[in-house]
Amino acid sequence: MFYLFESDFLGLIPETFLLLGLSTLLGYGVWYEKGRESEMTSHQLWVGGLCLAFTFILLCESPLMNMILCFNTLIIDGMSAYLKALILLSTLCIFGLSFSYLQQERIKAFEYVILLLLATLSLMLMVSSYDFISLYLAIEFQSLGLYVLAALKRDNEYSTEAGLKYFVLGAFSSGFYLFGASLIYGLTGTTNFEDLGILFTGVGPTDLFTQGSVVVGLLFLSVAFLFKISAAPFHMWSPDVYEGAPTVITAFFSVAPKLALFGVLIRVFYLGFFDFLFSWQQIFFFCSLASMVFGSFGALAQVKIKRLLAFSSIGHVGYMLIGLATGSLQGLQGIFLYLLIYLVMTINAFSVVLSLRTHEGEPRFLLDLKNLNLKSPILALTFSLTLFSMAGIPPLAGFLSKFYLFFAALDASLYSLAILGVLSSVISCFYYISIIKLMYFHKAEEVQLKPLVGIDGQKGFLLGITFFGILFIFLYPSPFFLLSHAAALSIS
Amino acid sequence: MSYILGVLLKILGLVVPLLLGIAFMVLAERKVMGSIQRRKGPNVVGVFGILQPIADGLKLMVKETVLPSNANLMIFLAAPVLTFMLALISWSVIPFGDGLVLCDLNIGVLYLFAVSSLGVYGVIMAGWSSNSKYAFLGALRSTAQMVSYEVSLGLILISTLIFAGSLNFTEIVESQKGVWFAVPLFPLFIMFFISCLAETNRAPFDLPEAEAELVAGYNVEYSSMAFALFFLGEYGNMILMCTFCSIMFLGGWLPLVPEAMDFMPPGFWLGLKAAFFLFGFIWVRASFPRYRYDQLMRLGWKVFLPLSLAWVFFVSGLMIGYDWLP
Amino acid sequence: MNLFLAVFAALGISSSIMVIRANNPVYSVLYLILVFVNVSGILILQGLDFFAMIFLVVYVGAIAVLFLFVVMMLNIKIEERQESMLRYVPVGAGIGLIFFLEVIIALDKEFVPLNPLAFTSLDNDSALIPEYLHWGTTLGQKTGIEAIGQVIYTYYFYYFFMASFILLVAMIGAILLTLHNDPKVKRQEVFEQNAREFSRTIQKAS
Repeated sequence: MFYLFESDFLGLIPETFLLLGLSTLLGYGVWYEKGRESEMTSHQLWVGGLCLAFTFILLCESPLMNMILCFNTLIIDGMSAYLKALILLSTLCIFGLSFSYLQQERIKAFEYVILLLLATLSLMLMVSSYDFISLYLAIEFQSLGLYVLAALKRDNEYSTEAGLKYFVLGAFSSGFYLFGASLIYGLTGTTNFEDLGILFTGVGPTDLFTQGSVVVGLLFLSVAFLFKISAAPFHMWSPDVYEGAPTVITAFFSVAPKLALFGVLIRVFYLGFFDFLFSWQQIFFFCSLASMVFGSFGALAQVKIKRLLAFSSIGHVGYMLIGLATGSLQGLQGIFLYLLIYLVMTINAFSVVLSLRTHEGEPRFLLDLKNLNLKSPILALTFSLTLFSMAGIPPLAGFLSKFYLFFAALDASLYSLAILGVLSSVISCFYYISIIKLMYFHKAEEVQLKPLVGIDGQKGFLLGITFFGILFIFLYPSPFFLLSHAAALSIS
Repeated sequence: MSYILGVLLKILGLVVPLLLGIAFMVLAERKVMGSIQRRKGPNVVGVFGILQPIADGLKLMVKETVLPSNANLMIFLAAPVLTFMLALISWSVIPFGDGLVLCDLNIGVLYLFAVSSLGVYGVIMAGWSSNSKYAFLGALRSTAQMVSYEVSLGLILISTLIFAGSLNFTEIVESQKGVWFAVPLFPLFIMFFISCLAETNRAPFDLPEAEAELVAGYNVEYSSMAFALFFLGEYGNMILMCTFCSIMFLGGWLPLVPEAMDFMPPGFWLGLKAAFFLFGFIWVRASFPRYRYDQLMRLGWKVFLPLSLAWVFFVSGLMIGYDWLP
Repeated sequence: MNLFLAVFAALGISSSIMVIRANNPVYSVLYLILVFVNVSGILILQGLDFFAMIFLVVYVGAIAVLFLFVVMMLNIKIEERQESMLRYVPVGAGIGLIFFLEVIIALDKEFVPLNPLAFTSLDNDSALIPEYLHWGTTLGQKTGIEAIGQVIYTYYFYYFFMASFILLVAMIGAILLTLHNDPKVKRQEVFEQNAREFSRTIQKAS
C-alpha cells in the first residue's frame, strides 16, 4: 500500500521542492517576523528567488520526460516542461522587480512572496493537469492567491476594487467552467482528457444531437477559459483589475496566468476535444477577431498607463488565439514562440513603467511619460523599441512571433484572421507611436522636470536582458524555434 | 399502518421521558448549585422541591407573551421552535441499549454533528429578529463561539472514530467493549468535555448569555412560552451533549464490570454516565469564573484546534503505522 | 419515494426563486438555507447519505452562517431597493430559456449507450462502440463514506492535497487582508502570563 504511487513523487520533484521551500519561508516569516518587518520582505525575496532558481534547475535536469502521474490526473511532457520553465522565469523576473517596489510602496507583508510562490506552484500544476477535476482545483488555487495579491494595498480603494472585481469575475467564470465540465462528464462518464480524446474519435460529423450536447458543454468551457485569459468579449474586467492592482502584481497578471491558461487550452482542446475542431475553431476565431479589434481600438482611448498595457495585452491574447484556432502544430509552435516573446516584451514594458517613479509616487497617466527623453534617454530608447516590438515592426522580436502566427493562420486557411491581425497591428502602431511622440517630441515648456528615482540593480539587470532579447532574438532565433517546436511536438 | 403507529409510540417513549428529564434537570441544577454554595436549593414547593419544575412550567405558560412591535414576527417565533425541534430530533440516533435505538443510522455521528451545526440558526435568528442591539450582539457572539468550538469538537470526534472504525453509534459502543475510549484518549476526553461546555453556551463560556453582561443575550426579548422553548432546548442540548460524551468516551450502555450487573434495566448505565457528566456541568458552573469573550475565542482557535489536530495526526499515524485499524 | 422527491424538488425550486425575489436580503439567505436543506433531502433519496450530511454541516452550518453574518451586519435599508423586477423579465426569460434548452438537449443523451441492444437504432459507427462491464452485477456492499474513503486517500490523493493547498492560500489571504498589527495597541500574552512563576516575580533589588 505504501508503494502505490512511488514514482509519482519522482516526477513531481520540482513542485515538491517549491512547496517545501515556500513552507520553510512561511514558517521563517511567521516566527521571525516580529520587529523585523522592514527587512523581512527582501530576505524572503532573495530566498524565494533562490528557491525558484533551484526549481528551474530541477525542472530542466529532470530525467523524466513523458509521464502520467497520480492515477491519470497529472501529465508531464514537453509542453508542460516548456511552459513551467517560462512560468518560473516570469516569477523570477517579478521577484526582481519587487525589490525596490515593495520598499518604495512600504508594503511590509512578507506573505506577498509566499502567495506569489503558491501561485507559481499552482500554475505549474495547472499546466500539468490531465483531468477536469485537477484542473479545476489548480485554477481555484491560482485564482485565490491572485485575488488576494490584487487587493494587497488595503488602504487604496483602487486596489480593493481590483481585488473584488477580479474575485467576482473569477468565481463567475469558474462557475461556467464547472457547468461545462459537469455536462461533459454527464455525457461521457469520464473527466480525463486522454479518455475523452479516445472516446470522441471519429465523432465529429455524425449524429447531430450527441454532437450538439457535447458542443454545449464545450461552449461553456471555452467561455470560462476565455474569461480567465481576458479575451474579448469577456475582457471587461482586465483594465480595471490591471489598473488597481499593485504594478508588480499587474506584471505578474499579464504574464503568468496567460502562460498556464494557454497550456490548459491546448490540452483541453487539442487533446480532449480535437474531433470537435470545427465547432471550437469558430469560437476561437470569433474571439480572436474581437480581441484584436477591441485590443487595438480600446487602447486608443486610454489615458492611463496600466490600462493601456491591459488593452495591449488583450490584443496580444487575440494574436495568440489565432494560433489556437488554426488546429495545426504550426499554430501551436507559433503560440509557444509568441508566449516566450510576449514574456520578454511585457517584463520590459513593466520594468520601464516601474522605473518611472518620481518623488511623488508612481506614474498613473500617460502624460507622466512626457519628455522622458530629457529625463533619461536610455529609458526612453528602451521603451520606444519595446513598443515597436509590440507593434510588430521588424527587425524586432515581436515581428518574428507575429510573422509565425500569421503564416500558421494562412496555412490553415484562416485568411480573415491574418488580414485582420495585420490591420490591427497597424492600428496599435498608432497609439504606440503616440506614446513615443510623448516621450520624445513633447514641448518642454514646464519649468522643471521631476527627476526619476534611481533604478536599482535587479531592475536594471532585467531591463538590460529583456532589451537585449528584443533586439537580437530576430538575429538568432533558432534556439527558441527548437524549444517551441519540441514543445508543440509533444501534442502530436 | 401499524408500523407508523409503532414508530409514533417509540417516538413518544423517547420524547416524554426526555421532557421529564429536562424539567427535573432544571431542578437538579438549582439544588446542586445550592449545595455547592452551602445553601439549600428550592425546597418549598414539593417534598424536596420536587414540584418546582411544574410550578416553573405553569408560570411560564400563564405569563403574557410579549411580542416586540418592530420584530420580524415569523422569524421571531420560528427561532425557539427551531431550537427545541433540533434538540429533540438529535435523540433519534442515541442508543440506550443493545438495539434500543430509534434509528440506527450508519452515519449517526455525522447526523448529530449536522444537527448541532443547524442549532446555530436558532440563536442567530432569535437575535436578529428581536430588533434589539443587545440581543443581536449576544446572538453574534454566541454563534461565533458555537461555530468555533464545533471545529475542535469535530476533530476530537475524528480521533475517536479512527479507533471505532464506523460512524454508527451502536458500532462505536461495541468497539469499546475492550476498553473505554477515555482510557487511551484521556486528554481528548477532557477537551471534548470542555468543548461541549462551550458548544452549549454553559458556564464558564456563557458570556453571550450571562445575566450580568448583555442582559441575557439573544433571548432577552422572549417571554413565556417562547422563552420556555428556548430554555427546554438549551437543557435538552445539554443532556444530549452529555449523553454524546458518555457514548463516545465512556462506553455508552456498557456496564462498568461486564456480565456482573446484567440484571440492571437497559439504559441504566447510559443514564448513570450521563448523570455523571451533568453533575460535572453543574459543578463547573458553580466553581469557575467566566471567560471573557476574546479569551474564549483564543482558547477555541489557538489552543483546542491545534491540539485536537495534533491528536488526529498522532492517532492516525499510530494506527496506520502499527496496522491497528479496525 | 416519488412523493418525497416531488416535495423536495418543488420546495427547492420555489425557495431558489424566492432567494432572488425576496426584498429583504436576510430573507434571501434564509431561503438559500432552505434550498440547501432540500438539496440535502434529495441527496438522501439518492442514497448518498454522507453527502447529505456534509451539505448540512459545510454549506448550512458554515457557509450560510458566514453569509448571514455579513448580510445581517451590513444593515441594508430595504426602501432603497425599489427598482421593479419587470425590466429584467424579457432578457432574463430569454437567457433562462436558452440555458433550459441547452440542459434539455444534453439531458437524456447517452454518449456510451447503456444497453448494447439499442445499437439497432444506430446505423453507423457501431464498430466503434466499445465493450464494457455492466457494473451493476459486480456490486459489493459498502457504506457511502467507506467507499469514498477507500478511493480518496489512495487513488485520488492528489485532489485531497490540492484542496488542502487551497485552504492554506485562503488562510494566508484572509490574514493578510484583515490583520492589523498595530504596534501601539497593548495586548496580553496569555502564554507569558501562564509561564510566570511567583517565586521569581518579586526580587530584592540590593
